[in-house]
Amino acid sequence: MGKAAPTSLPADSGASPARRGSAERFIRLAGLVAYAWRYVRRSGTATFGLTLVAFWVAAALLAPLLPLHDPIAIDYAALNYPYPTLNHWLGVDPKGRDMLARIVWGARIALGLAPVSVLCGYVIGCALGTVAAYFGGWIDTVASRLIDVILAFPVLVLYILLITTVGPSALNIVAAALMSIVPAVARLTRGLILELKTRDFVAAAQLRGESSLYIMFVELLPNARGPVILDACARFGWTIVLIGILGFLGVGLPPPTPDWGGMIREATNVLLVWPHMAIFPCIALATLVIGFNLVADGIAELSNRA
Amino acid sequence: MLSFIGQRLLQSCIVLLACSVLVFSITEATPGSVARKLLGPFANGQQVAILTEALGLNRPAYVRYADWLGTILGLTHVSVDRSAMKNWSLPSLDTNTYFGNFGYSTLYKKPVNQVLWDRLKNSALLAGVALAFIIPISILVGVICGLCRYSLLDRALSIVCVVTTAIPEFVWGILLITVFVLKLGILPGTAPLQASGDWSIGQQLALPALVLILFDFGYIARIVRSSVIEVSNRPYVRTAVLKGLTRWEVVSRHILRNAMIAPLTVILLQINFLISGVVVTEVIFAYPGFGRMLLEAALFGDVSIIQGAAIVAVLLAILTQFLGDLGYRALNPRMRDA
Repeated sequence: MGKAAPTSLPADSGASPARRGSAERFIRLAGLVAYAWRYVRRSGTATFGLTLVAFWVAAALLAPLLPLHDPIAIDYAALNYPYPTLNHWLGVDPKGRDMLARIVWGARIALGLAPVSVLCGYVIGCALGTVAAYFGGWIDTVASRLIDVILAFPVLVLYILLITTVGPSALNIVAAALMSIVPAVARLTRGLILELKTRDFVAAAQLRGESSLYIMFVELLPNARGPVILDACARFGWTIVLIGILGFLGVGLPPPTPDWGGMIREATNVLLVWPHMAIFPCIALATLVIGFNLVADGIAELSNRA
Repeated sequence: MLSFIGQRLLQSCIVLLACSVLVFSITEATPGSVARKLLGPFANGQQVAILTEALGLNRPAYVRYADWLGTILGLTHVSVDRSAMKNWSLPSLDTNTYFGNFGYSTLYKKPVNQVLWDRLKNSALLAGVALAFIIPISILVGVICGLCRYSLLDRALSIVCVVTTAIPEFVWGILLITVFVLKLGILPGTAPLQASGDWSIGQQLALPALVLILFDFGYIARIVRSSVIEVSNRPYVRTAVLKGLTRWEVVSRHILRNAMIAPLTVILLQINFLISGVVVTEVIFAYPGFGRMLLEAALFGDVSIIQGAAIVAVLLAILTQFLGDLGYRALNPRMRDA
């Protein structure tokens, strides 16, 4: 992100990178956050979306500090009256575990796995797409066909096959998410770079004798950042849905983990008796995903307006 | 045009072949023997050994892959070494030679084809009902948003589209079941597609179709919207306005016709998703569709069904992409000669 930031950032003036202290780095980061916030504030949609996301990020970060029940402690006595009470604010789940605690801790699962998947997916996908587009020829043909093959595959089939053969774990869920993120990002980046590489500044760099690596990742990729960042926002929400779906289908993280999809799965068995057990995690998941999508939508609107 | 079709057919065959290798290696070359997966966790070592011998599973992987591909293409048949299983009767494996023979399902105890096409038909029914609503609704919403862009109506509808699409299918399913089954009691919560119960097939289809409609229409509507806006900014629209055509003539003849080109591809891709990708909705409503069959087969370890279904799903994806490209060429005059 640091390199990709526009040079007109408020905190971007001053000492050379080598001599920057940690305090200065913090100020720079704070400046970036403030810049992003000022940018997003111009769109009501994006502001609302960012507020939703920030709420869940705060919940995930503060989970160990909040005075919550143990999210995996089973209390069968609470099932006598599983609805929201003063003790259990959102009621309890079918095993008598506190719903509020599980939802707040569940935010950690969703917001922990999704960024890892999206980040890894972007690193691999951007590299693949850039290399394919820059070199062209047979490298591009092979990469494009490979992307076509993976994208032609129904994604859920792929996840289920992968997870049922290698077994559910956090790492495998990330791997399953990567299978769809990488080809999609690679195709997006490839399209952007194909258009960018005909520009004069690339020819200038080539004439200067810069290496291919330098041209690809210092000259080309940062210039494709706009659409890529926009796509990343929507993909965050999408990955969270995916993790939820895997949990819901019973191929996500194993049971005691407070995973939103898994909670909904357990609650669907008693849906006709205690619907609130399914609805609260549903609302949690939906608000977080809607948040990411509104941010993406708002940013797109801003970039169109400009 | 003909060379385009020929080229695409050749490419499709290569993609299909690559996918078959992928499917075969995921299902067969992963840890654990195929015989063990077929027989389940309660079979003893001897049974596994007998089945491995009978199905020739100890042959090298590439030989088995060629054999499997040959069986699908109708060149060879499922080879079972009867002498290895003389004391053990296996239900009639589908040993006939015909094109599209995917073998025998251990989960449903039938030849894969009998299960597969039946389930695919059910999924196609659900997809058809959903699409019959999704296409008109999304085009209507998209065109309205596109024509009065940046107005309050456009912003409100756009946000509705973003939100309905962002809510995952299973969340929609649970919310709708809570409202229509629990609170109102006017629709059934499951859709087994059997007319014997209290609910007609139409009532059973209502909720699953509603989930798909709500989940999917916003996405297409937004594509239609941006396409309409893009076309409206083209110079030929300005020319049409300046030469004095009425607003209706400009919209219907110049904007809408051209704005429908881009969404067509997306709609065709949605057909593919609606038939093979709606695992979640089918699971919630116990709908006997293609996706649920695949999930059940994957959880059970029914290798033949997984392989057959994956190949059919890829075929479907390639087919809809191909149709999308053809339609794109047919609608876009500039692409016709290329």
